[in-house]
Amino acid sequence: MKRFLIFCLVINTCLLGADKIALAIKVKGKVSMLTKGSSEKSPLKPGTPLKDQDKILTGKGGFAAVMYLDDKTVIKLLGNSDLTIAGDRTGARINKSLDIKYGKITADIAPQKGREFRIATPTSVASVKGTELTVTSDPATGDSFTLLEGLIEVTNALTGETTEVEQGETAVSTPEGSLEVHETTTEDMAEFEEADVEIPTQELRFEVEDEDGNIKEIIIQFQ
Amino acid sequence: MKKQVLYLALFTGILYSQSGILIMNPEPNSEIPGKDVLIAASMFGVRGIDPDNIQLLLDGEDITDLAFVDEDMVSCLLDQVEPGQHQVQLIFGGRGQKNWSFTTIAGEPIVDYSGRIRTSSSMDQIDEHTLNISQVMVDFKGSAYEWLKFKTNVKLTTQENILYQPRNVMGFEFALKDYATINFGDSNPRLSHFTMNGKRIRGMNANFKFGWVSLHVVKGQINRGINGDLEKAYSYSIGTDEEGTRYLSLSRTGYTFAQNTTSARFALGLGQKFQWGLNFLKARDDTTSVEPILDDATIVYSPDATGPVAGLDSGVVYTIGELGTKAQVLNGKNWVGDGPKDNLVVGTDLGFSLFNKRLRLDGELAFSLTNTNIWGGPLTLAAMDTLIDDSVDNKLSSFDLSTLPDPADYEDILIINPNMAPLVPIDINALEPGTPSSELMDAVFSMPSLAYRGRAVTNFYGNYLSLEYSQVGPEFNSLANPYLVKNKREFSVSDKLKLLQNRLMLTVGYKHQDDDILTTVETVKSQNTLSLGINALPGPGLPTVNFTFRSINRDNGIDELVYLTDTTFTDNREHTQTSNMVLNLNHRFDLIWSHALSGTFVLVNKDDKFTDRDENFVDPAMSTNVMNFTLSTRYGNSLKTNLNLTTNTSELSTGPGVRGTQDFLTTNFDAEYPFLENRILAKGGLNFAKGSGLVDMSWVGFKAGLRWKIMDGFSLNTHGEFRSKETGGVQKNTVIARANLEYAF
Repeated sequence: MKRFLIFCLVINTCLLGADKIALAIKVKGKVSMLTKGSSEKSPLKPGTPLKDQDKILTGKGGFAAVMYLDDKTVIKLLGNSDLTIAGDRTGARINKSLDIKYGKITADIAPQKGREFRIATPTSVASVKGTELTVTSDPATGDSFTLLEGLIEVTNALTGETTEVEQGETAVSTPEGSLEVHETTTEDMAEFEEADVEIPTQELRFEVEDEDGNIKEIIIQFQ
Repeated sequence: MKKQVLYLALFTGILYSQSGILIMNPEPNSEIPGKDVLIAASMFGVRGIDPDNIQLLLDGEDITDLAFVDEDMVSCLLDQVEPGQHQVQLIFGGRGQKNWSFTTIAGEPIVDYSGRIRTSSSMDQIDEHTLNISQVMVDFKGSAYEWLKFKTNVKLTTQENILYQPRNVMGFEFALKDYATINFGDSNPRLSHFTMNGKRIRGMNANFKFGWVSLHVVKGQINRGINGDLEKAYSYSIGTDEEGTRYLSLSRTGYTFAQNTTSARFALGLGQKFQWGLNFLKARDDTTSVEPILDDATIVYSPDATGPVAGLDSGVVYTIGELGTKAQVLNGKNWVGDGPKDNLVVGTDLGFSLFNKRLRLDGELAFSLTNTNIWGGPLTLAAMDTLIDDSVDNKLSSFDLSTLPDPADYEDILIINPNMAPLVPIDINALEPGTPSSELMDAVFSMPSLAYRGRAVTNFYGNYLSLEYSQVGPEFNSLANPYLVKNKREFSVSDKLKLLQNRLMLTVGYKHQDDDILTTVETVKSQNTLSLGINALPGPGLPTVNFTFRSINRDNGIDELVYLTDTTFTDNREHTQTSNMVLNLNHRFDLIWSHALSGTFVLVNKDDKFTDRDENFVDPAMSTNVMNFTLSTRYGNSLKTNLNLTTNTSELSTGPGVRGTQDFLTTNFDAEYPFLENRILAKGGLNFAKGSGLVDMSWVGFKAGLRWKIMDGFSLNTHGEFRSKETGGVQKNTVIARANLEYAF
């Protein structure tokens, strides 16, 4: 009988906690959440548990930080962002992915131990194994992925072109299909101050002037 | 015994699993503000936890009742925690506990700042040409009292030269919450796509927002005034005055007028869901910014066919000061160089999003008026009366001028004279009473100085559909937006379908471009592009496949030969069909080490659609095959190598009736290795190329570099490259050296 009760307790425990994957750890300004299948927004507060497919929306000036329960992977949303947080609980791990409709996101992703962490936007898909990065996504203008640490692979959804992005590099993927990588500049990191990320970067820029005095800037990349 | 083993296993499991408890917030020993303190821990994956027996204590006080507790996590949000060090105890019903401490402070720091100083030097010696550049960049940014933000953008470079537009950058920005952002110095303002879209302006750039209302004002210089190279500042002709004395008539050239702009955008809406904007741009060249007489400027005198100027020797270099009365300088009219311009652009744009940004509609319309030479000032009504004929009848041809305002009254806004481009912005006949509205609309939308665009983007069910239309008239001009392509009409539609959780993507697209804007266009140049893309990204451990096909049909609208005589003719016809196919495979795999293998095959074929060409016609047809293989390997000791092999075969026209082929083989091998716990990253590489066919050439080169984190925030990056190139038996070398030093604080 005792063994049966222990068994029931374990099963009950597993069933009850089957879909919780993350926790909101910091919220500032206007931030709301939508649970899957619901059309009603509710304010997101620090400490709120998050489930698979929960959507987080930040308003202007809003900020939210979310931490996955299994490995402390942290996702931060800056203002005017729309993010669906996803996770498939398998054993003691969570297979994670993010679906960014638009906005500015930073992610400090713990090593995924052979698993893939996918970040999808309307323009691109990024495959991450463990890294720290920032993502800016706009369906109209495209995405930029800036690697602060680690390595990711970015694929442009229009052309399928794939590129690796390393620490100190930024990949720009556009709805027109271009996918380019350049050394990260201060402009790439503009407006991420609130996410409190450190920015390793260097750049070499040259300007050329045509006969009419118009200046164009060339960023020279070298390996 | 069996029962004891079971209990032992369960107890061991509990102890073991409790080591997997993660402290989520606050981080142990961290320092945080005392407001809204979240205490949280995760028990995810830890078996045997009974939520009912969990206790959460802060500084010994039980706060379990304030917490959310279940089998996965504990979280407790506290409105305010007194400044100081605090101890958290998370007790699992007598089966162990997790303790940590943190410190709270009274509030956020009042002033926060960070910055970066970078210096870089480069030397590029390519064949006989050498370019040395050094520059210093200082970026500083910070905030104070939660309402003030500031940042600088400063770059000083050895490329700064008074003969050119500024290369140094001096920008300072202040922001007062979200209400105002003001830039002084250099900035790259964006008002709208057509009016001002990122060109550097030196002056003031201020953006004010208050709720739904925003005002963006830009006042400054698009170009600075440049007197030009003293050796190229004048051209001359030889004239004869009323007394028969011959003299040099000097005209200024090689200059750039300072170009000033005052521009503004007034907008309603928050931008995310709805925004309507009114855009205005005024730009004018400052004719006083260029010196008409430069005494130190020089000319090389040589007499013309009509004879010499007395007192001047042929072939001698004279300064303008030396010429004295032997020269007269054209004073501010009809200089040989570009005439001073005046430009006015007005426009409006509208954009809104529906269904939580899944549907986005936006569009813009802009109209410009440009005067290409304002030396003569504005035209008066009286001057217009006699512009075409000599009769003073208050009419310009048959057009009654009596109802028009005098253009001279509006010279502060725009100087109107016969140098306007276009001279008349709309087909006047369309304004006659009784003209059908359809013709009037045609006349309006085919105005040469009109630009407009519209776009609809939908994103439903993983289907990203985009439709765009844009037209920029041949005479549309915004001096603050010089890179805009003119005389172009474009329509495009593309659909991107994501399937299988973004693992399969299908893309189809169509784009039409032409220059059929004006009603007077006789031959329409057009280009139609059809594209198809299939991308399969099956998942980790499986190869990705990307396929793109693009078909481009280009036609200049001319389909007849132009006969000059019975036997000679000109063939200006252009109608080509280009097929472009790209197949790319990528695969990551582990075989002793970690590898990424990539193979790309590109096939381009361009065919001439005319088959009746003369045998000496320069055939536009061409074909290119490219194959590329890349193997990137990461070794266990952090060494990374990259091996690349590319072959390229092209067949193309090299002259009238002549075709040829060119083959290239290029190989690269690069390696990088980190030392001293990643503080030093050494890089090196070899490359080789060989070309044969139309041009026989080869090169061999090597490169090396070092990235050294000298200390936290202070790093050095160096790169050197040497390449020896032989083309047609002639050997030339390329040497590149670059270094930059960066300090972040």
